[in-house]
Amino acid sequence: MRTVTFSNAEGAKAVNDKFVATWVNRQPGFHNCSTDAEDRIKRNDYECFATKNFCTFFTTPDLDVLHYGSGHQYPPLFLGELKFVLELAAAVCDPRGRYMEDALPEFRALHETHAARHEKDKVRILQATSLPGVKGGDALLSRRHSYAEGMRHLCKVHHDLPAKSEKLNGPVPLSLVFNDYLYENGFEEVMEGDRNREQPRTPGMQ
Amino acid sequence: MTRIALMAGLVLLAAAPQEEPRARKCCDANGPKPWPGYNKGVQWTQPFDAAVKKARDTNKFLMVFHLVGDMDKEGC
Repeated sequence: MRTVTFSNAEGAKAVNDKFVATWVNRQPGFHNCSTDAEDRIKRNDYECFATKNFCTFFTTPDLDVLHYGSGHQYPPLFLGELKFVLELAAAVCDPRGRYMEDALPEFRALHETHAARHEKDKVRILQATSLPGVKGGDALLSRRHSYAEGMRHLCKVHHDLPAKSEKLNGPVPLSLVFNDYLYENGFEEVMEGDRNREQPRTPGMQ
Repeated sequence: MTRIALMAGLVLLAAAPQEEPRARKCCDANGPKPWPGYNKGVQWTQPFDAAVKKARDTNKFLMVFHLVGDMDKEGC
């Protein structure tokens, strides 16, 4: 997610109402002045880029992962994911927000249902001859490709988390996916000389 | 006459100030220059451990944004 998504009033309110939000920087000192992607997100034009660069995790207070998405999404898409997380949490967590013991079937069913929605959305976008806010030609092709890639990524996450949960016979801890999350394209902003640096361990788990 | 007007128009157009390139300087030696689109709205709890404690105390869920760059320095 890029920071401009968090400037959307509806999204910010949903986050503040239901979540405690925190951030972790894996590249201290990194800096980029470009706002091209931010400008596109602000235009609400189906911006979605499932890059390795960022990842947004949604967890229970005990750090069990409910859902995540890599890269950034324009606000309507992000809001949809937030709503899904809350729907999922209502089904698989107790009133204190803790993952319930027998929650796997419901966890899997809701993830699969949401994956099917993304699959339909992907097909719809790939068939679109125009998109609001997007000029035709190469811009349209590029946006369709990027958005479809984002939908593929979310589908994979929706299938991967229940599979991991089944293997573990319990919820998926954040430490398992924090540095090994799925992404759809490998774009990553890395400072010179840092590419081979050891990945940070999950915060709070050292 | 039309030709002269057209040429005058072209000369004026060429002399008009050009739009600045899109790249803008978002920070300098003094730190970040505020940008209206940057991270407005979400209340962040830092550090991570404090956020986990707050989530446990309030029974809220956590949203953990794993990024490159410092949010509190507006990416600078």
